[in-house]
Amino acid sequence: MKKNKFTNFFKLVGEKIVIAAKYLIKEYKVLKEKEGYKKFIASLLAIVLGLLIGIILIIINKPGNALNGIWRLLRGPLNNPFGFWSGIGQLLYRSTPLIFTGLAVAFAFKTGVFNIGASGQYMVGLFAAMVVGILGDSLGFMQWPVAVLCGALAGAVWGMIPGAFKAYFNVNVVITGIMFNYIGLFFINGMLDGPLKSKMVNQAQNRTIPIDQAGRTPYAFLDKIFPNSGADFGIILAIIAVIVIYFILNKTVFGRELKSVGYNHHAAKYAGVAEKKAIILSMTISGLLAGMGGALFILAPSIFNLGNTYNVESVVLPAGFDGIPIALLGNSNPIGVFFSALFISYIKQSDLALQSIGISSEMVNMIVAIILYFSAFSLIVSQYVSKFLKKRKEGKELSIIEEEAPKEGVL
Amino acid sequence: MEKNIIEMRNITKAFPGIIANDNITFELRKGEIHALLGENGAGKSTLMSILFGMYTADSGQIYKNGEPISILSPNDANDHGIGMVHQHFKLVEVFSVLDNIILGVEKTKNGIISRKEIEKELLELCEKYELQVDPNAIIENISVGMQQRTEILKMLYRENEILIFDEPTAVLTPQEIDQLMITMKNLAAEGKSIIFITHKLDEIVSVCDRVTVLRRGKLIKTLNVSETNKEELSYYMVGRDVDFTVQKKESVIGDNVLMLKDINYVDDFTKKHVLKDISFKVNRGEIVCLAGIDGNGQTELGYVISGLLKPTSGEIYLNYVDVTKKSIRYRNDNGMSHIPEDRHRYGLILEESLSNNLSLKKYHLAPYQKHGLINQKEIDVLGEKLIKDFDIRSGRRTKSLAGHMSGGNQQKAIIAREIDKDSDFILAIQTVRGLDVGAVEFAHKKMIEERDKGKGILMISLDLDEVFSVSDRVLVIYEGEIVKDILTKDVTVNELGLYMAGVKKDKIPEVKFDSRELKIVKERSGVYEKK
Repeated sequence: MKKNKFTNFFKLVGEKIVIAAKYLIKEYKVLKEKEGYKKFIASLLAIVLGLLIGIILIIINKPGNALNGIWRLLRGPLNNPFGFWSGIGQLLYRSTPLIFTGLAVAFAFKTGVFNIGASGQYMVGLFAAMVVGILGDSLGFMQWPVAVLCGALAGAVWGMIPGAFKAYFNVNVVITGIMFNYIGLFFINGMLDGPLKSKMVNQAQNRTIPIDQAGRTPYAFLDKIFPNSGADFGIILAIIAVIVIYFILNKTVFGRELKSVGYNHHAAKYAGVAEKKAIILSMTISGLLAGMGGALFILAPSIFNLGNTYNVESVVLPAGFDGIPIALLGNSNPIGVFFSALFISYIKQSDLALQSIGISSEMVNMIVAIILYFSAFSLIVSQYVSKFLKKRKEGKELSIIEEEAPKEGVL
Repeated sequence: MEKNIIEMRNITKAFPGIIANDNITFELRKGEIHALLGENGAGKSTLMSILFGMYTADSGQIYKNGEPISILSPNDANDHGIGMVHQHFKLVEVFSVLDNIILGVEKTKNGIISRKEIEKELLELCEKYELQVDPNAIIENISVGMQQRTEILKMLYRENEILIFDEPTAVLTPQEIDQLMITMKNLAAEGKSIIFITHKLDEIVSVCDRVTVLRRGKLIKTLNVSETNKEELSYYMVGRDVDFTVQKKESVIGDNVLMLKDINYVDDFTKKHVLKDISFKVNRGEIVCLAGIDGNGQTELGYVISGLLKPTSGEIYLNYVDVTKKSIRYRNDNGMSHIPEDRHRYGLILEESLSNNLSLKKYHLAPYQKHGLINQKEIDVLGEKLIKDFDIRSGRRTKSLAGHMSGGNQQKAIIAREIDKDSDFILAIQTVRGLDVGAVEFAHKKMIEERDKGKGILMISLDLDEVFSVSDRVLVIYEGEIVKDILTKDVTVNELGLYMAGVKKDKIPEVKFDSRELKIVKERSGVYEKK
């Protein structure tokens, strides 16, 4: 009797597994046909190729320490002296701003706009959050949410202006974007050197003073899971942002209109989409995301954080530019952006561990650059991949009616 | 028995998902005019692209005078004496006729182009083949017909013996077509061999010696034209009998749906006065065709009516509402359908799925959206329905990307979407461009159905066959002006041709609303929102 029960149980489990496997195979077949899958494979290929070349470079550079170096490169944040969970925490903390700027660039890409001004938006966001975070004492426990909000709004305004120039005067967004990076930088430095100097700057170090306790984002118990790391509420906001952007792009009328402008703005106009409005809104949301990234960077509570002070003489912060390759590697897909930001910051965090065995930290930057090069070629790579996939099943599916559109409408 | 100058033996060419040419054998005799006939996607252009060196065949061999030759590029084709007049001319607009002709094969004396000698040579060629061309005219200033003659001269100057004409008559007036037919006969009489790609059976019957019919990538038959007729040819082409005469009832004219009043459009950039005081009405229950030669302002007029361009002055009334300053979406949602001229630029988002394209003008309306969220299920249901009703063929049905579909099916998708909108007014520009005989028949039938339901239709067409088979009334546009407004049954092809060429011009009576209509306009201004 008991034995019978057992066999029955196993039978049941077995059946369930078979059903699940069948379902997965079916899903995989559907997935394989999708453009996104090919692009995903292409990005993966870029990463593998980049790492391979990186490994070769390490071997050439330091043959004696090569194995150790490769090991440290691949371990990334896990080289952390405080252990595994601290490493992961540090990874999440470092990824937060990159996820935001990556999302910002990707979102604008989807509307066919190249937001090279993400750095400027990031910086004004950072600045606005810092002002509230240092001077907004009267806000009490609302200080950090207000600071984040102000950062996001400042970024939004900084994105909206180039968008409006594009929409109403047809000025190239790339040009205004770059100009607004510098306008942002010098505006901030001017403010910190002028009216805000006495209140916000530690003049001995030429850096801003730390953010108020109430102005910092909370740990939200992440310090319990990831001890000795900078992981804070920012990463949760980043994940929420990824989900919200994914939802907007794929499930809403608004998102579809933005995407249609990106794919073919003539057809979008023909279909009745207000093109100018779409471009301005897209740049505004893009700027909002970048600004929020800057805000969360400066407001992070981490004890390891150099970020919650700002160097007054700094150049345009690279975080916004970093968003461009991240968006590329993630194929402008919000979820792709999330993982590519994690990946880039994963690789980048091996730099300290590599330096300690005499491999320069530039090596890491080179490897990242190589990966990004390959991902920029991802179109070519993905064509190669799809050709390869087709070759494997050639002869089977030649009967499909789909065909090349005649180039000149001759037929 | 004449000798074959070109033989294409057992040509096979496959593209991903389709065999465009399946073991096709094509023979061209010296001195004949050989028509190549087939539906959309039958493989005509692929076959000719292989002959002209733009594609290489997967298998098969091309012979010239019995010798095997290989053609890997258009230059090779030129070396073998093969020339082509493309549907869209390959001319440098700002160059003179002469410069275009010698481009790439310039004859020089001490490094200097000897224009005088070349001009003399050209004039001799013109005389020999009765081609009227001014060698020193600038391309952008001359008529389409003369541009085409420039292309022909280009081939003759390069001493090509095999001439491919790709749908040469699509852009010409009836008079110019007659002239071209004579030219082709002259060329053949001089020993040139001509391949003539066309959809128009009349032309084949009138000028060709033999005809080869392709269907779905396969060779169906090669026939002597003298031993066949239009009905048989269309049967071979489509695989079933085609009804050439469009059946339609007497039109029942109803209220006005569209009125243009004194529309002017001046191009901001070139300052060219493209549309001059255009006024006309389109009423419910009639199909009005705007005929004219390409480039006389039809494109801009289409843009102005659909809202893609703002007119410089004038008024547009849709259902008695002044929509001159209203948005495109307002027009879309309030009774205007628009089949655009350029399906890739305006009609479709090639990167999106078929069902998303079929809902391009509806996704912002219920039930396709709810609280701003897309309802993909309803969109796919709509897609499936239209695919079935309009026989749109795509590999993965609603999920196929529009860019992966053939041109004819893309056009069908646009027609399906615009008719499904159930608008009071349909603006249809070049509706059947790129459609085969069967699909044309279907599209025209649909248009007439819509007319009989009481819709007003404005068709802008370059094809006079289309004008005469479907329209109730014809407007002729010449250099941005309406020069004729007449019921189709009261006019002949030749007379229309004179108006299209600008030889004749009528005074068009003033267009205005009567007092009853003016009252409706007043009523609807301000209060008339969504239907």
